[in-house]
Amino acid sequence: MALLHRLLAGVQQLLGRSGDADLELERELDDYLRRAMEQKVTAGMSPGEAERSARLEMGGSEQIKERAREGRWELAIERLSQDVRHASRSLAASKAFTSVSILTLALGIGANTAIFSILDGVILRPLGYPKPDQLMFLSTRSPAVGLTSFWLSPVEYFEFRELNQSFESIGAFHVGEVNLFDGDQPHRVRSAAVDEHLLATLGIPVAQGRLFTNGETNGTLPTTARGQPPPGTQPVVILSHELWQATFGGRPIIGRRLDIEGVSREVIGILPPGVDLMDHRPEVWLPIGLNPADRQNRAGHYLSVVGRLRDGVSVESARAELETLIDTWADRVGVSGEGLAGHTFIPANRTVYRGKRMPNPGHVLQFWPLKDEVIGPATQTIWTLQASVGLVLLIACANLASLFMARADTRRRELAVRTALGATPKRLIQQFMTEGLLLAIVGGALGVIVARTGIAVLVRTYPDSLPRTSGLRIDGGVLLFAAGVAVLSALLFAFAPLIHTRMQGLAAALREGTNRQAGNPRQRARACLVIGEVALAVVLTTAAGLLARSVGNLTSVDVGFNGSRLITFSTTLPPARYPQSAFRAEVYQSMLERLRGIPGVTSVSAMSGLPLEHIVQTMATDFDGYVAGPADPQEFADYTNHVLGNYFQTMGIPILQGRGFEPSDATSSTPVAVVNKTLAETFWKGRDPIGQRLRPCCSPQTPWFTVVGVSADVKEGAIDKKAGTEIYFALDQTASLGTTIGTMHVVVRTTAPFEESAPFIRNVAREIDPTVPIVRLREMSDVLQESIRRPRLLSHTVNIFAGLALLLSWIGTYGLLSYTVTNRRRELGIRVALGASRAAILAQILRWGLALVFLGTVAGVAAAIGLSQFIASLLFGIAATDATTMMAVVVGVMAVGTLACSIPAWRASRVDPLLLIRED
Amino acid sequence: MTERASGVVQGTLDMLILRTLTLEPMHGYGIGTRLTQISDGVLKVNAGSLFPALGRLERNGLIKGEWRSSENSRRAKYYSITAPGRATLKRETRDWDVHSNAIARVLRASLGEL
Repeated sequence: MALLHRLLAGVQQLLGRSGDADLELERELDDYLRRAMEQKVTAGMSPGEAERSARLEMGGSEQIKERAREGRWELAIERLSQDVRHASRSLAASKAFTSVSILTLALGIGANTAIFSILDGVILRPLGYPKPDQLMFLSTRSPAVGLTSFWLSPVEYFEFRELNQSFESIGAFHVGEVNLFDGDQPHRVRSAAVDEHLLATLGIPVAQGRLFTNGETNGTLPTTARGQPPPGTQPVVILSHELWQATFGGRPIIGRRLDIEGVSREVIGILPPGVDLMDHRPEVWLPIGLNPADRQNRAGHYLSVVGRLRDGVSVESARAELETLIDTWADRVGVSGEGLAGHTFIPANRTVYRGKRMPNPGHVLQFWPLKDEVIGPATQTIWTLQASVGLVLLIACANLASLFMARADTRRRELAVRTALGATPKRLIQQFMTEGLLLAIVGGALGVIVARTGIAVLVRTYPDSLPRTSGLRIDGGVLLFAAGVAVLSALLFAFAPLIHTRMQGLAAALREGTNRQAGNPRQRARACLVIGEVALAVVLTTAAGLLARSVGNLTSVDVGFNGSRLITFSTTLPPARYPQSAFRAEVYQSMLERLRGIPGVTSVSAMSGLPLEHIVQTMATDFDGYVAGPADPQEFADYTNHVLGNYFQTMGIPILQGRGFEPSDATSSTPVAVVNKTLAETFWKGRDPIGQRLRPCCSPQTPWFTVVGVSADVKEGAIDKKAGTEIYFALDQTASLGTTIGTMHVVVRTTAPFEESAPFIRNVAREIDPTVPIVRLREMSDVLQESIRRPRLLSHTVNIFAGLALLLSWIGTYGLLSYTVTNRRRELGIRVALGASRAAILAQILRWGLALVFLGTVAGVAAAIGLSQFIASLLFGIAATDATTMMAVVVGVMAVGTLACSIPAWRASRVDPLLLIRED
Repeated sequence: MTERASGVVQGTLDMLILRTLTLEPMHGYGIGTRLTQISDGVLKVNAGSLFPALGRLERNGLIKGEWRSSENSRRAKYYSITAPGRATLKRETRDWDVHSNAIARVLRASLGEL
């Protein structure tokens, strides 16, 4: 009750309704005084005497009013607004200080907020499914062939579904792209082929229409390989909300038919906005066409599998169950054959299996949280970014703290006057804090704008470099973070000037007036800040240097082909419209033929797997005459590539032995193959590979291929990985043997610039089939750049931060020295007057400044070495403690430091003693 | 800057004001003189203590101020005690009795009792 009264009275007072409590009190006091006077006059005093005595008794009315005010809570707010007004005035008065501070803060807080929104959106935010922690990603591991996380075969998937008890639901899918023809334009859209269990497992609801029903996603044919849904699956499709909006304008579409990869499919449903699958953001969802009755193809691994743990089942207990299952998998599923027919899970610790000794045993099923799979190695990149940007903010705060100390020094006279007028030290500190907070709030608000722009630029400049970046936004949590950072930095830098002055000593310190000394504790504190700043800048610059050199190393890796003046694009002739594989190959050939006619084109080829983007296949292959010993590599080929046209010449891949493919191979009755150097050395070591035979997976009807040539290695999977073993086939030959390739990657070597050739290329593709889109038309050098986009993102961003750090420490060092020189002008002037040489003064100032920079550099190098392990795994071809980089950083930072010191030092040496004397 | 009414035990001033106002509504000066009168001049309350206390009591809703014309048509702010004020006074008087009795007992205790 009493509280409510106080509250209402306070609010009234704040709102200024009857302005009044003060005025009223004054009238009351007036009345009091007059009554006291009357009393005294009645008692016999003269009016003048009575008034004097009454006033004396009452005391000063101002003091009474002040004391009456003390009890009001709104006073705190009044004071605050007073402080804010005062702070704004005082900040507005020193424009340079204010703008430097706000700019520094905006950049520091902005960069931190931007990176935090990535951290928040990618790592911290749970996946957008119900109970996302229960979702696990399942994969297989086969140490023998070096596969640490591979797909499951359909049979393995079916068997696990049937055997396990830990998972409530398990679903399978694979992602890819399909052609979509809306009757007007061909589109290439991201697709997910899924079974009905997957949508249930993830808990994806439908917004319109329906999801796949029981059995609707099954196929009837044997499932052979990753690729399009096999013929015979239901011709239905579910669209993403985004595709429905973008391509079909949100018009009613349920029940309509769409041409997808040449198959007319009925739209049965539309998903809600924002549904994702492993960061692939599928636009169309197709039935996968698995055949649960088909248990033949045990080793065709192409399924991604996601499971949802039952309520209350922990990851550990599910793992334990899985282990017991794997232990006796073959018996449980009744498999006993040899080779692929006997392919089954084997425990990784079983060195003897069915009487055979196994050096790298095991083929196991494993799982981990789906989120880990989605984010994967990006985690470290993002934390590195967050750490570097945090360092930038620390440096910014150190700079501001230094600035605040300098400002406190220059404001001594003002503070002394205010102390004399009755301001308490507490009040002065409050005002310091208010100034700091005000700067931080303005800086923080600007920072949020910086962050928004920063994220937009980052995501646009480095698309697909980080997972889950499509949904990045600055939401409440991120804003809260920005506010927290702002307040924390305000505390850091605004409180710093007061730390070394104890509360009760403050007034005294403030009263010191304008008598400044160079050696005062505040100067020493500022010197320490400069050392710290330089050290942090060195750490950041070292990281930036190492990352930049890693990217340099990645760029200069010999990828095995000549990527300059090479244009590439992908195209997919849908098997539904081109069912004959030989005919498809012919159509591709005729496309190459027409491309050859484009002005400037010197050579054209096409392949099934584009280097650097080729997904590892690990194809079981028989190598004639090769028997794997216990410790030898198993008979697998990492990559197979079906090529058309003059492949090796177009790509600029040297043939080391024998020959490449020739047009006559197409009609030759001898199937031929070219292998890469690594494969030849792996399986035919010490023998002539030419004339050796090999037979790829997986049926006994597959003919033997004769090796006619050995090519140099090409980086198929990634620039920073080993090339792996690879077999090339001539598609015009293998197509007649029944090989069906979905997507072909065409490469065109031309002397004309990309912009000139691109329209011609599009025309050719349109002429071949207007319903078939060509996608990712780009230069091969872009493929290279894109393959290292995450290291580049990291390197570029950290380099920007390092640049910022250097700039800030330059400002910090420069600021401190300039200030010192200004303060010591009188002393320096006297020394000049007494005969000190200007060179000596210059050297002295320079020495002092450089000593600080040097100390900072030493500390920074030590810290960089100490922290090197955290960055080691992000580097390529360079040690985290690389001496050259460190030296370069030391030289660079010292150069920046010298630059920062020399201007103030030079100014110091120009001090004119006469001018100084006149100043006083 | 602690608040102290001259000669009045700290914290009891509020109680005394409330007690004074149970007789009739009064203005500030009246309260002060009445307190001095009743206490036979022992308790002297100066304006510097009185008005902050009045303000505090009013804001807490224990008394209510109202501008009225007094004798010779001058306007003065008259304070009257409110219902919560009476309740508070009652409670505090009881507490005061308990405490002062206790203190008195201790102070007058014979040596043997101590």
